[in-house]
Amino acid sequence: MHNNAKRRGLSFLLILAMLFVSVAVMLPVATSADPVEFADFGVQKLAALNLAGDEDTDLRFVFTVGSLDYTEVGFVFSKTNAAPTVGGDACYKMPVTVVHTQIVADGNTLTADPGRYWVAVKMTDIPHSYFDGALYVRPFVTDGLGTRYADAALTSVCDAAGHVHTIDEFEHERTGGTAALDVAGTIVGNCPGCNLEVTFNDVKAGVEYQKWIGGGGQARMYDRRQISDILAGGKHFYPDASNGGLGNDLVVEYSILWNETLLNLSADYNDGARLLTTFDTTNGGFSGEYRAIAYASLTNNVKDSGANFAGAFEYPSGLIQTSEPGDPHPGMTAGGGAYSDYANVGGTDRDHPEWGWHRIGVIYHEDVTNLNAVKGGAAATYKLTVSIYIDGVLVSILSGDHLDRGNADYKLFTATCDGNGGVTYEDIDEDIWVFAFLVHYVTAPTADAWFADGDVFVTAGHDFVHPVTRIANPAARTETVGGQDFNGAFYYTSAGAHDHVWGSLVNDASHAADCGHAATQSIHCTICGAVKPDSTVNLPIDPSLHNWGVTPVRIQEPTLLEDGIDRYTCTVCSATDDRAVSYEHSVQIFTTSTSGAYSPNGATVGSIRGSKHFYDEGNDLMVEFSILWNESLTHLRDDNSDNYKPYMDSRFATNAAGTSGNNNIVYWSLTGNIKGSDCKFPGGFEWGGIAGDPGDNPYPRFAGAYNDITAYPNLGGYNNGDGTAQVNDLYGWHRVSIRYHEEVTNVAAVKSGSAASYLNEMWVYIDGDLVLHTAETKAISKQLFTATGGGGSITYTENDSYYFHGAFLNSTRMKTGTGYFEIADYSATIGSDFVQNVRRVNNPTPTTLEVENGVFIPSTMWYELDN
Amino acid sequence: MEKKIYESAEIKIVLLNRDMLITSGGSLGENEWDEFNFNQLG
Repeated sequence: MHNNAKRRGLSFLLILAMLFVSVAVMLPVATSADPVEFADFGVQKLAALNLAGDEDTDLRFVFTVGSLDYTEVGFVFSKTNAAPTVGGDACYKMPVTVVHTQIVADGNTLTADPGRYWVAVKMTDIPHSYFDGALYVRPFVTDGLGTRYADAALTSVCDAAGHVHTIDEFEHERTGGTAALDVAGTIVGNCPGCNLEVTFNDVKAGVEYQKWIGGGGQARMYDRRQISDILAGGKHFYPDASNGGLGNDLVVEYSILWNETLLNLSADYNDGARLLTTFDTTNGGFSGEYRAIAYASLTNNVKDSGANFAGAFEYPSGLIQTSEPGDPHPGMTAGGGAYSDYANVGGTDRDHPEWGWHRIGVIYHEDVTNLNAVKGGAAATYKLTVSIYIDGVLVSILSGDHLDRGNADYKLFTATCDGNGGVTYEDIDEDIWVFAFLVHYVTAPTADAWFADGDVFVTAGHDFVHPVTRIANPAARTETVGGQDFNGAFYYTSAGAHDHVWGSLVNDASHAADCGHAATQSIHCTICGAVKPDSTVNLPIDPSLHNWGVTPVRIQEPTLLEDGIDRYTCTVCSATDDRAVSYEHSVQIFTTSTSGAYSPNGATVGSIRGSKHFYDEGNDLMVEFSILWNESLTHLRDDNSDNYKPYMDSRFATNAAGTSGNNNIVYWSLTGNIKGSDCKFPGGFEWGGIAGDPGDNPYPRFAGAYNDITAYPNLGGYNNGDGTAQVNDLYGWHRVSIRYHEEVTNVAAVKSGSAASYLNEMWVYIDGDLVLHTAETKAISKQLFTATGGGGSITYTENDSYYFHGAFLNSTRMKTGTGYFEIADYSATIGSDFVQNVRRVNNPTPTTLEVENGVFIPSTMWYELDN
Repeated sequence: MEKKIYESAEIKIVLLNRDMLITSGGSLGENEWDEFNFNQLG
């Protein structure tokens, strides 16, 4: 399919004659010796005339007389006098006194009728600029009775060539009247046939259509323009003096006939019809380096689309940040940025009592967000914004730093440092094509389907060529496209014929004045966007106004005890602003059951140690976290018989989830009666030991379990061992710190070839108090490192691929209600110091903590930093 | 010398000078046309 239909327009010229067309003859007075004084009046162009390319040309003019009884015959010409006469205003006489029975005119030999003679003259050097200019011409004869004339005729070089002006109305703005699809306007532009500017009045917009034949093959429809045409006349997308320093947007607009036959298109998920506005390096669309900037759905089920019905608009990738001014957005749960709230546009599941013409607008805007930094040599960063309108209503805004759908990333312009503290801009390659719309290939429909469009414009500017307003209740009408009648209506009307309604003062550019930009504000018409005369306000650079951007750098992580710091940097002048950021809680909620373990902080041994070594003296595994002991934990099962044992542990494992090949180094109880545990009350700790499940018999296997409820009465629930409730009126945050040490105890023997033996030593602290210290010399199945030797040397192998989970929560179930489990400020490091050295607070001030679902839990902080 | 008489009900004119009348030049060749320049139109 072609996109730019040529339409033959109206010529304002009277066609004189291509060659030797007889015209009406003025009869002479009765006494003339020539009964037919004027015949064969005609004009002839040069055979080799190139209307579009010749700098000048000649025309021949002829007529015949039937007598020699004249004193003078010839022509009078005028550019302006419609009835030229000999000696008249603005008239030029070209007389001849010799006439001919035969002439050779540009290779043609022409013999006059018997008794008649050719009157023949040649006008030379008519400039190209006047090929379309008016030439009034009139034959005359003079004798003793005076001078007589034939009727004057109007011609031009173009007319003489039989040339009828044409114009590509899709490539020229149609103005005048109301600029709606069905209302005539005026088009001024260059005729491709003669390369002259011509004017067409009373022109209605052309309608292009694509008919998908039911059961036929695939097809697609598009309308495309090249950047070189869009920027013709010295326009630029980048900011410069030609656009007041504001740059230009890419403005795309077209009308589309949404009609019931589109329901015949395949709504199969894999080939649903998409309507794209896109870039491409070739004129084929999707055949070169392409990238789409907006999508619309023609059917109800387009692959990869969040727009699940016809008429919805979206940017489907999801990587561009999106927002949707149209609200609400029913059904838009995927592919962010989809717009779906337009009941009268398409779709089988929508309320569409009237199909009809709608007008789509897409404005692609670009900002450089770090202009001052670019001046200093930094690479430019960009913000791209796509605004989508339906019938004059802004329905979707998509923005981000790049286009992400396709295989290229088109900026309207780029900015680089010019080396002298300034910026060099460059527009997008002029060879790039912009497809105002492109209907992707679709599978043959079940029955014939029509896609019809009109009034397509792609321009560089800030406003639509045809600003329109939405009509809420248009009158029904019938539209005929391709011989097919469609029920429809115009759902928009021109915004041109109205009294302006002035809005409030708004920024003209995407930014207000700030530390690096001057700016302007003006008042616009709320209907068409026109600027109110004399309303523009110039705003100078304001050093106090910064553009902080949206992505700060985290200078300090927040903890339970202290706010963190986020540093925002002005994208214009690089000033900084440090802002406090609170700790954000994450909670694991137990309801009736949990289906899996919970370990939010697992990491490999290799990532924990980095370039350090656990076998070096002084380097141990330092694990620490805060835990919110709270009453809801008493809802966990504690029946001593279930496999879902509510305990936490620190463990090594062979997988990221911590569930395979695990070997635990320490346990603590979340309830009072865990099967197989030494800890008969919540908050008790025990040494996990070497291998196996802690619930295995016999137990206790290792010395050192911690169960001194009198020392920490505020931990946990109740003592299920003796039935005496703990004193736990003050639940709250406690800090658990674990130091895990490993060393080879027989280095000398290993160097001689003996197997290594290991010491595993561990210290557990609660709120800064040491509560458990164990030391075992048994080999465990998962270790920080192993040692081998012989011949006087020892080699350590660190188990970097093991995962260490310092706060692993086992799957559990509830005996009643809901349980809330939360840890915070977790870290696992290598060294000899804890990140947070804390000490116990014996009588803290009670506070509360809001967790999920509005539940408040007493959250007294039972520790503070030991400074 | 040839005398030519035009007649009508009202007037009679006798042209005595045949040289004042147009003449037939027979065949006009391609490059023999009487030319004038467009610019002469003013």
